[in-house]
Amino acid sequence: MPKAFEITSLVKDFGNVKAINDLTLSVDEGQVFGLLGPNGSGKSTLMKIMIGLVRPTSGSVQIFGKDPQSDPTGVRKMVGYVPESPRLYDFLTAREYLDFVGDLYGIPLEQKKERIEHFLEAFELKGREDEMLGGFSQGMKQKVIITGALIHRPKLLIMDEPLNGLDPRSAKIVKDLLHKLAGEGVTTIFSTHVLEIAQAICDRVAIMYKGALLSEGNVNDLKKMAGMPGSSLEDVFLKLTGIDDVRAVVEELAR
Amino acid sequence: MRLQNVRIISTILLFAQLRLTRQGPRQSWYRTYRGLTVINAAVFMATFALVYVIMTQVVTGVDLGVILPIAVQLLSMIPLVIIAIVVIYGILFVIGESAQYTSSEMINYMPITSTEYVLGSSLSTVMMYLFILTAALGISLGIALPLGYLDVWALSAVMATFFMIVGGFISEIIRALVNRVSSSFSKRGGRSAIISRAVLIVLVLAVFQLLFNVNLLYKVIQFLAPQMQALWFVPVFWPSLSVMYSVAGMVNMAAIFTGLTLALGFGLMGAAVLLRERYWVPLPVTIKLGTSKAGTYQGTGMLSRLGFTQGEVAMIRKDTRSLFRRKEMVRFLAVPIIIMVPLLFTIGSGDATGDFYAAVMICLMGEGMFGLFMSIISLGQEGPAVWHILSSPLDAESLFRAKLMAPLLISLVPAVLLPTVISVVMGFNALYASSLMIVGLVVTILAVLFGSYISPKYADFEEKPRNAYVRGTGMFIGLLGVVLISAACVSPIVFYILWKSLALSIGFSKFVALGSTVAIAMVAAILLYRLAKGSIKELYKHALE
Repeated sequence: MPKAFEITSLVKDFGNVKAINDLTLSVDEGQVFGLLGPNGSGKSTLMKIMIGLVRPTSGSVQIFGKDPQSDPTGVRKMVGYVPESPRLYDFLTAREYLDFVGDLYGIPLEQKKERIEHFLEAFELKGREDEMLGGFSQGMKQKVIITGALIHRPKLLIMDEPLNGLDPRSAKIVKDLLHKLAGEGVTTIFSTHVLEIAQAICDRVAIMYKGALLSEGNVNDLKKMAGMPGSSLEDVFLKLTGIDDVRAVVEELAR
Repeated sequence: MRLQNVRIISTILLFAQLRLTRQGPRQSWYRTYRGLTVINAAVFMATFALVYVIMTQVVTGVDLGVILPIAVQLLSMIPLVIIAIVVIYGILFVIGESAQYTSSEMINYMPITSTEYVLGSSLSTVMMYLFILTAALGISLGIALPLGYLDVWALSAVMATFFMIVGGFISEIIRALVNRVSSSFSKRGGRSAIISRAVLIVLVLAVFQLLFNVNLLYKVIQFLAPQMQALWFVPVFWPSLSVMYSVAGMVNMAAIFTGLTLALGFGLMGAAVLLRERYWVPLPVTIKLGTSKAGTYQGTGMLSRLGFTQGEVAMIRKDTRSLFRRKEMVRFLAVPIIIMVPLLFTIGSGDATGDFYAAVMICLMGEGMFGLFMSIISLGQEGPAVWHILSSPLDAESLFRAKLMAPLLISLVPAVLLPTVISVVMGFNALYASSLMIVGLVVTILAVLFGSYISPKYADFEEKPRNAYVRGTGMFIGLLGVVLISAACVSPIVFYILWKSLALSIGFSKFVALGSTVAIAMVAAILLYRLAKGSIKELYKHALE
């Protein structure tokens, strides 16, 4: 199976902080890959390196055989990116924003129009598309961002907490869409704190902690590796990241 | 009403203004209440000492009969000047505020009443600009003491202090109106209302600039002061009238106008509270564009025929919308205009050469500054949304072309219109008219290129405490650079006309002078173009660090 991306011995230092610590990872084309880890574990930094927004200290990254550092434009044409807590251009309407994104990716007018209308309909944004984004709720903005990442039909989706703020219907649409796109050969790497979502839609899952990869495989592999075959992914996650002893904290907070 | 809440709110809002810097929160001795007290006391003492020494040591020989009426005018005008300055600061603060943060202040959902908020916010404004009041009081005490007007100074000081708080109330009224009523208006009016709002803010600022032009202010005060008693029905003059009647020994009249001043203050406070209750909504208002443009998708249009790519055209279009739709961007349109307005009054002397130089100065300052502002903010205006550009397939070359073309297209409009209008109105001959047009175009193009060079180097993507888009150093270098480059380029034309007007013999024709200006400008433009392109490439390189 051809690889969508290959990361080898990746290191990223921010001063004394090691955000990514000797990480090696590869994902096949058409897979939905979940990235789990507590806050500050390096998930967002890894994604920014993949899109060429952050320069690694050492190691290599190949996206469909291209290096995002030496050929960022070539990589970005193939990738759809949803950042964590993204800022939009609040002075544009939803339609103008998507029109703008479509133009950045060079989508022909008719295709652009058709795809935008399609997504507006699916995400129930019809009737609101000519309102400025400044007045949108967080969930509505997230729908617009996800649409922006999808309209150029990318081969790889890099999504940092993509389901944040989405209502259940829209979250279900995104999840089903990722599955459908995977069937068409589109690869997705996404981070989430909601372990049920990772369990439900990911072909493979990796757990990151302090910049390193603790464990990687499908959910059952992870349970076996942790020696907890009958447990939930949440228990496995808490055990592997060493933050399972939360009882004392809860007791203290409840006093 | 809980005074404890008022104190807490005023402290939080004051510290928000004092401590939130572009490099993050900063703590230092002068960012505390104690620090502010020391600064204000120092300002008061220094201004008082300076003026007192001048009054007692320098002007002793001057006839007191000349100084006395001026001193009375000054003492009576202090409250008026103080309130006007506080209101101006209030307006500048409002138009510079990021809508993103005014609408999400934590304080909006705390258990506080509107009265507590309005009082607290007004007090924080007073504390922030207290140095203006202490300077004014120091100066006036330095004048009043040697003249034996201590009692009048005391009344003037009380009135000025009270009117400063009233200025805070007026600022609150403006904030509530701008943040809510203007948005509601935009919601109903759509696209045309957005332009109207921009024009309105520019007009308001231009009017205030005129009002506070030093020469004009002096003339107005000279005109008004003797007639102030006839203007008793204008509320803003009530504290001044109170001081004037006090000087004249008319205690009853002084008491009436003092009472009216207090009533005015409390009335404005009530209005501020009411407006906050009714119109301050801590959620962004949805603005819908309801014109025929809505529902359409953009093609590449005319710009693509000029060789621009689809992505570049999209960026140019987005930046143009940003300029007119964002409240905080309007000041960059407004400042060059309000700089030019007082200069317009210098044209029309009847001397054609004098008028030509005045017109050149207007073009140099107005168009140069406009071109510089449009380009120097081009990168920083992206703010935290800059990720769109950095994660898009737009390369450095394309971004450079788009970020250069957007300000150039916008700036070329006044660069052509202003010299044309001035030349037609003033009836300039062909030499003056063509020279003025060349000056306008040259200055605009060079200013845009220089701004494009500075913009990536000094871009400021922070939104807190307020959007600046370019760091202070960058703006300073930009302004200085444009002055120097423009002066170098237009000097052949200017010298030629100066020589001719002095009837001196000159060794070259007007065509050589015009040609020299164009030649110098072309060399400068080519150099600046290369520098600006390199500057954007550097930004791309460093953005990844």
